[in-house]
Amino acid sequence: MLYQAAIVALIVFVTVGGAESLGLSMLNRPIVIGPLVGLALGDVQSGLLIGAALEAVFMGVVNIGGASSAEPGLATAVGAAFAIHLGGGAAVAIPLAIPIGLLGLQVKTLTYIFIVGSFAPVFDRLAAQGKAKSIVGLHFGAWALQWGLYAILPFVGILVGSDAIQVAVDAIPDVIMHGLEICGNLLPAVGMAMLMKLLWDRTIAVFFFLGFVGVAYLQLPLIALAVIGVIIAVVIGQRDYQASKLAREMDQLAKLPAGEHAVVMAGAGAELDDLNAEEEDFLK
Amino acid sequence: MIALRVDERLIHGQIAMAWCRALQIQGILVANDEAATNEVQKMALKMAAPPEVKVLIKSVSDAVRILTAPAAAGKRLLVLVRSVHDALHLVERVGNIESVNIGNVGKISGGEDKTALSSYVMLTPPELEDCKALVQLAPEAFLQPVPTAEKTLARDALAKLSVRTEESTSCCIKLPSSL
Repeated sequence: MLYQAAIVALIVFVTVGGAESLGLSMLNRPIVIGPLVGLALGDVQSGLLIGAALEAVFMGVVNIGGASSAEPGLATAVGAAFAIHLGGGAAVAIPLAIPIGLLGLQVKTLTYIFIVGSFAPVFDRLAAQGKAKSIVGLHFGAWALQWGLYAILPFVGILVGSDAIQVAVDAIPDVIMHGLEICGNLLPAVGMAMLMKLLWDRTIAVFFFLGFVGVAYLQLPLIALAVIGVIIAVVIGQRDYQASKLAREMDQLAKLPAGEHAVVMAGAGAELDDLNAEEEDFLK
Repeated sequence: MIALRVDERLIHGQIAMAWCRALQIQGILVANDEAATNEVQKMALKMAAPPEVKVLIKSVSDAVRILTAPAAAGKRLLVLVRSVHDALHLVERVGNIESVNIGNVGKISGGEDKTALSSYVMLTPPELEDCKALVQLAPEAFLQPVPTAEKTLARDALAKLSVRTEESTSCCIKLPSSL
């Protein structure tokens, strides 16, 4: 149990902490953490399945400032570890992961306020003294301290909580466990809906229906669908590149007949309703 | 449509991800005297906005001129100010402001002696007076951090405050400056 607790804590430190230091690396997503936990605990397949199931649930979870909802990293690591240890796959992992994700977010916020936040005056002092190297050192030091402390959460949770969770899972009647499994299968729809709330846009909505037709009528496997997605992305990327090249060329052409033309135009605008060129463009 | 929001952080995640989408905003006009003269801040604010939304950063008086221009009619604009004082200034001079939202005030700015209208809005005594004047001009002014959060009318929050003041001898809730 000590090994399991330690390795899961290490995975949380590397992925959740790593994602915080490397920008939007997506290291802390369930689809990454699930298989990693599976690998560490000797069941990659279960880890991957649980990771994919939890990714579908947490797909729409994007934490922005005050609008945060859950921390998927800790949720997946602990949920997957328990599910692999106890057996039962996603049906065990999902009901465990959701409350852990909510708890993880609260703890994460607290570490920002009390651990990282408390170093702010020290940074100010070092900056006043011009000690650039110390600032870099402290920056990484605070990072290691913050995520080191955060990783204690899964460590203690798995070390101490295993037996309790085992008893709780054993005590749940099969009927309810089956119900949880069904609910777990419905949750990806909730995850997808949360994602659509963020991403829904009339210009890209058409692709959503393309995907639906591909799965529901053509019964394409996911790999084929992913390849089609990549093809669409490449085609759009090429088109955008052409469009921006064209726009640049047109800009240069417009500038050619000297600045005179542009000045006259801006002047005319100003006479009309007292706005300068920048302001006109804003209201165009 | 002109939506006015008081937000001491001006353009940030809640604005870019939530409000622009909810209100289908075409342009963000930041009306702040300090930001309008600071090139670094201007650049940072423009980076924080979603790419499809135009951003203009102007002084409060320039903002009045732009918002009252005929070309502004028919655009869906989000006007961001840093203080209730600036919001009052705009509401007094710009006729067609559709909504006034007091989002985030008092966590970064202001002095010690603040009164909390909500967990996101904390006002100093002069700001509180401005807020009362604002509610007179815009009775529907509301407090709402993000579109999915609950909406409270500013006048209700102020009314609750005066009830509380009558009940207790101390005039307001003192907040530690660290908040």
